[in-house]
Order: sequence, then structure tokens, then C-alpha cells
Amino acid sequence: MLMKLRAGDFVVCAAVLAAAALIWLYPLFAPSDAEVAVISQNGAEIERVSLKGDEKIELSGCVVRTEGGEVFMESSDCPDGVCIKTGRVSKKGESIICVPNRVSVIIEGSGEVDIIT
Amino acid sequence: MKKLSVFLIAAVAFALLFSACGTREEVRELYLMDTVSSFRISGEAASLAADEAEACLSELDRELSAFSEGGELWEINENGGGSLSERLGDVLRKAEEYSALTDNAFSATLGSVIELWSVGEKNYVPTKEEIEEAKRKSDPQNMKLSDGTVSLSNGAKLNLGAIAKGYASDLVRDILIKHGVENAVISLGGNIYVRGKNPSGEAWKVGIRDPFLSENDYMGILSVSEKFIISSGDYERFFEKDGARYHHIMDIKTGAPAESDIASVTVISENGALGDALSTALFVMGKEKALEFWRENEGFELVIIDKNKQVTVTEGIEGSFFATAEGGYAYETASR
Repeated sequence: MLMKLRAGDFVVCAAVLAAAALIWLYPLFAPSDAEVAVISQNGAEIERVSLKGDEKIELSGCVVRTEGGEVFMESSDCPDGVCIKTGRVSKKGESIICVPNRVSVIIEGSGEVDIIT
Repeated sequence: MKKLSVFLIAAVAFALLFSACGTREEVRELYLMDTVSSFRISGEAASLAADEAEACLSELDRELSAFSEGGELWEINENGGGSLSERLGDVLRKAEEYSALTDNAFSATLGSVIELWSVGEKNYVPTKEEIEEAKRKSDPQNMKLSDGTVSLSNGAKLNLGAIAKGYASDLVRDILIKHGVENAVISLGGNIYVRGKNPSGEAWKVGIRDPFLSENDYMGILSVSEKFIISSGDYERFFEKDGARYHHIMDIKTGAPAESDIASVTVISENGALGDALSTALFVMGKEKALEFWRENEGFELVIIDKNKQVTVTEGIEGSFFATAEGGYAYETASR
């Protein structure tokens, strides 16, 4: 049987679709005033920290520090010091890795590249 | 009827919502093989595939590492040989093949030289005598492979550091295929495998590390899919002593860090083990011989950055390479 759609149906339809689109698109336009660094040890997330503040995050074997919109490895007992040499990072997708202490600090979000070789 | 139409609309909206949120991405970080590895795997089977890949890598870590006490390769080095599991046999056959292909610029028998210098750990500058002795032990002729066994002579020690991660990435690729995973990026200590598309629906963008700058700096982007991208360079692991710099890529001819005019070489191929072995071998060969090798062989493309910041991109990958470095670099295309 053929049905006639009424004006009300269109309104409901438009409203539901608009709500779905909003939820779907929200993350793309959500305000992002400060980057967030995700700090993990042994592959498990330990802490998420905004780069806005000035914080010291003490982990087993090393200390991560945020300051002036940047994050860096302040100290580490690892033999190679690669994590300290990485220096300060602040852009989406950038990371600091300390393999001996199994620590990663990754700035949330996608940068221009997905990965670096 | 009106209820039905509202229900239908709601169903469509939910489907829309679900399709947006439903592209689950499994992200993992592992510490194995003396390095960090990461997975980003999308799709319904992502979690299962990641579990299996993780289990496979931790087995390989124990089997293929020369430093994993009690592991298969460690035992073989201790005992001067032994019977081989299917996987170790497979890696050693490939190692032998690539060694012959590259005139030993890649070799699995360099264990004694690698242990002597111990770059990144003891950071020792050996004497000439010590180097000569380690070179004798590292002669590729000292490894004999036969059906299911390997024997080592003259104190030879195997080290698979220049092929194990590439080989492992081949196995991870097989696991992803088995689980029907369409989109993924895997990094085993910088040995990259990309499959399908990134979450934005575009080809994966792989940054090539700028060998003159820090870990997060790249000088160009490769936009590729279904490829292994593997780089070698003297910036990766090194130490400095008395003003000299010693890196980790050893030359079997000298028993010392390779003196190369290359700062980094990136191999793009469809075979992880080959790409890994070649990235080391081509670095050791130097730019001119590396390009000659590329012209004589097929199945891989290259991005070579030499120490004068000249970038050479081989013609097969030219269309997928985008330079991003601000200055100082010159670019050219190599043709066959």
C-alpha cells in the first residue's frame, strides 16, 4: 500500500538526520585549545596531560615534564638517552619514546603523516 | 504507518551513526626485539588480529634474537649449530639468499663483529687485532645450512638484526590477511608495513625521517599502500668517542662501521625480509653501487639521502614521494 508522507514526517526525518550528522561531525569541529600528551608505560596508558600546564609526571625510570605548551623527557636512567635527545615536542602526532623504560609520550591527534620510518 | 516511517528513518540514522563510530581502530604499543613496535588495525577482526600478531612477535623475539638467553638462535650460537625450527630455518635460508644477492653487504654471520663493537651498549672501539679476529669469525663461509640444521665453524655467531624485523613484518601481514583486515599500519621499530587506507580514507602517509634532525622530523612523505617501507641510516644507533662517531651498521669487509656516503636509505617493497636486508646492504654499498644494484634488480624502489643532502628517488616511486623539508635538500630521480 502506498503511503503519503506528511510534512511532520519530513520534520522528524530531517531532525533525526541532522542529529546523526551533528554527532558524527562533532569531533572534527570540537574546540581544541591545547594539545594533550598521552603517556604510556609497557603499552598501557598511564596519564593524559594537557600541554597547557606545567607538570612533572614521575614514572618508573624517568620523568616527563610539560612546560610552555611543550612536553619533554626531563630525566631518564636509560643508557642511550635517546628520549632526552628527542627534545621538546608540541605538535599532533609527535612522540618521545624511551625503549629501555618502555615509555611513550604521544601527542594526541593526527599530524601531516601517519607514521615515520 | 506514520510510526513505521519514523522507525525507518530512525533506523537509517542509527546505521549512519554506527557506520561513523563503528570503524574501530585497535591501537597497540609493544616493546620487543630491543625496540618499540606499534599497530593500528581497523575493522571487526582488529582485536583478534592484533592479539595474534602480538603473540607471534613475542615468539619471534625469543626465537630470532642473538641476545635472548635460552632462545633458539642464542642456543645455536652457544652450541655452534643445531636443528632449526621451521621459522628460523626459513629466515636463515632467506638470509643466505640475500647475502649472495648483495655480495655479503648483508650478512647474518656478522655476530662477532656486532658483539665486539656493541654499539648502543658497551660502545667499545676495538683494536686492529680484535677486529681481524672478529672478521675471521664472521666469514659467511662459516655458516652451513642443510636440511633442517645449521652448523657454525671457526667461532661464527649469527645475528639477524638486519632481517628479523622485516621477516616479522611479513608474518604480521599474513596474520592481517588471514583475519580479513583491510586497513592497518604496523611499525616494528620503524620497519613499516601499510595496508589499505588511513582513517581519513586516503593512502597512508609515511614520513621519511630527516637523518640530520631529530626523531620527529621528516624530510618527505611517501603516500603508499600494501608496501613495506624500511630505512637504514647511521643516525639510528651510534656513539661518539674521542671526536669520532661510530654507528651500528657493520661492513663485513672491514669489520667496522660501514663508511658510506649515504645518510639514510629507504627501501619500498612488497617483501619485508628483503626490504630489511636490502636497506642495510645498500647503506653498506654506498650510493653509486646501491643505484647500480637497483638497476640490475627488480621488486623494490628507493629513496636515498646522501651526506650532501642530495635526495635520489627511483622512478618507480617518484609519483608517491612528496618533498616536505624546508631547505638544504636537492632532489633528483634515478631512472633504469
